Amino acid sequence: MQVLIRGWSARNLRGGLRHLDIDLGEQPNRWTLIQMANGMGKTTTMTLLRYAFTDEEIPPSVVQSFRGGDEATGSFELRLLIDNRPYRLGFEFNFRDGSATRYTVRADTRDGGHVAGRVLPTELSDLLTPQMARLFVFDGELARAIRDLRQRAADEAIRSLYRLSQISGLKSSVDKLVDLEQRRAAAMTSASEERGLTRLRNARNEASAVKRRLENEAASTSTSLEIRRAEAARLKAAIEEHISEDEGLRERLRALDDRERELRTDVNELNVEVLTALRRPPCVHPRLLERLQSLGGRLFELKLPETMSAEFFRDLATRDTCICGRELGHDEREHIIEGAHRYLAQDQISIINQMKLALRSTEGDAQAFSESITRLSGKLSDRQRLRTERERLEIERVDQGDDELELLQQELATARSDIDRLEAQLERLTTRDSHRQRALRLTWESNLPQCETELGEREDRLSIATNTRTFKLKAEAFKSLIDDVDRLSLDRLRERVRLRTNEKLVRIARTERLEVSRIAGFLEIATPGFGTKPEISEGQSLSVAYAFLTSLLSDAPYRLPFVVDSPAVSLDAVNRREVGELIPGFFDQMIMFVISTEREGFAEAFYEKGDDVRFLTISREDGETSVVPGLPFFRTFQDRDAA
Amino acid sequence: MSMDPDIETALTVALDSMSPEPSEEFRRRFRKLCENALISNHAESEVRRVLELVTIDTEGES
Repeated sequence: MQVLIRGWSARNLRGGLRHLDIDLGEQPNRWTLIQMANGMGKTTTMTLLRYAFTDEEIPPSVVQSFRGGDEATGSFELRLLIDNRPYRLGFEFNFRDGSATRYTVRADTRDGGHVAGRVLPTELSDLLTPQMARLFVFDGELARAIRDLRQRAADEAIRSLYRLSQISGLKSSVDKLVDLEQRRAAAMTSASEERGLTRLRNARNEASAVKRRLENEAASTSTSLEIRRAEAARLKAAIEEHISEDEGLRERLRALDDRERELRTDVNELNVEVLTALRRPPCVHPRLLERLQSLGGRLFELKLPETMSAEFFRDLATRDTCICGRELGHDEREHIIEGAHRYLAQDQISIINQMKLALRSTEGDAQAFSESITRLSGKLSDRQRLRTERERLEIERVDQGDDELELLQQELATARSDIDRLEAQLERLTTRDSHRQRALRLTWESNLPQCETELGEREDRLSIATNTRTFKLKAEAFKSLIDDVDRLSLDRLRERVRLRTNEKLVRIARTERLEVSRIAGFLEIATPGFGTKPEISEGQSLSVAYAFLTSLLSDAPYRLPFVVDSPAVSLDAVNRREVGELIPGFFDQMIMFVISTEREGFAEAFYEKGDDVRFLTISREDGETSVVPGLPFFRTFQDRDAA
Repeated sequence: MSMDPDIETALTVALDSMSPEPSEEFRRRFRKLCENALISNHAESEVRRVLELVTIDTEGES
């Protein structure tokens, strides 16, 4: 990605910026030298350029310090070319309240181009931080900061430009995901650490053991019940056989059996009749019939369901114009198709209409159902009476002194009592009926279905906690990997930048050989063969900074302009020429603010570079600022300082 | 935009030193994630997918 500066303009700002427009052309020259005297607004321009590139807030006191006269408002606008697309980043200042309103103007956009705020391609927007802006809109303070042991400016510069912070930023995404996972799990359990997991595992094992015990109890109860039922059946048969031995009783018994068989047939038939009627609600009660017919009538009155079907909209989406006459574009069609599912399909409408008709024509004889129930109830009472009669026969026989029958009866009574007890026990163990579970006060420790539910919940809690922990462990491994990538990348980039910096230092620090011996957050400077050199001159400091920044910026994945204020003022004559000849070659665009005293040795190096250089001189005569282009005026201009 | 060769090498070294050894799928997706992160073009869902592919040693836990 390449960023070039096409110019800037200022209105009502201090210094020479009351009414200034710097135009560097549609396709800016590679090098621009802007000569302006001290006090004409170089520092203010550099500050405004940094603010314009980044999204840093401008404090009200700083805005008010920009004020150039009596006017209550002012402005600054920076014009850029980003990958050959023009952008304008600007501020409207209100000096009364100290506010600065940002705007961006982009060409070829649907929003008309003018939008509030700083709107750049995402990649660039993230890259252009205040720290980053200090690198390429060069802040002289940085020359000291990159050598300051207490600061990490050198590392920050490498990290910003190579966007390592974007990779390390993945860690916060991971933290967010872990937090989300934990919140989800917290709804079920708070245990994600090992101690909590052990507790949950024990709870799961406990429920599992109870389930096994209850299953065994249910199986053994069920077996005992079967045995006792078989025993009761055998005793019942033995009793009947015993009674049959008596001639008189046998006849009565046979008559009872015949009547019982008839009753059983009648009960079965009535059962079928009643169940069939129950499946037809209109036949159950006159009230139900009335309500169903009323529902059918209302559906007709309200014309429900709507006759509009999903097919109508799908068909509409294929047409060029809507039924209202407006033209349908791609977006409208997408919207119509998306909304079509909210309407019933044709086949669904057809089914509902059939139901409507059926409801309206519903008929049923509720009286018949009531009569069937009454008859069934009567037959069941008859069956109970037969049983009583059968028992009376047995009592008669026992009263006549039949000890064997009495013994059989006692055994049958015991068996029935056992069966009742075992059935109750089995019900307690196996019932799934929630009403019965409540009535019997059953818990997960005494009822198998409840125990199965409890075990399932405990297994879910354990599973979630285990998964959360696994997720957390994965996140830790992932973050550790990101740290490794970050550290190893930084090490390699540091070394690359160090070697390239030293290649340049050989050329631009000729008076005394210097080298960067180490980059460890800061630049450690050494004299080759003599070790670390903690103190260096201002000129040397600037040479090191230039060598470092050009190595960093010229080799980075982003081609940024380099803007520098008074680049040679603190360099000696030899180094000036070297800096003037070497450094500009590393940038696609370099803008240098110079004062007239920097022409000698530094600006001179550009005089022979022809069309690649633009010379501008900003002068002020009678309070009016003017921008004079061209080399002749530039090389002869005498500012007040020089005079 | 292709990844800087020094970052690319650092990434390979870091992946090679992972224990347990990561799957090929993880290596591929992690590399892609870093590439996208470097140009601010990655989504949280992408991070989650890569995260779920991390291999961890859970021996001794049941």
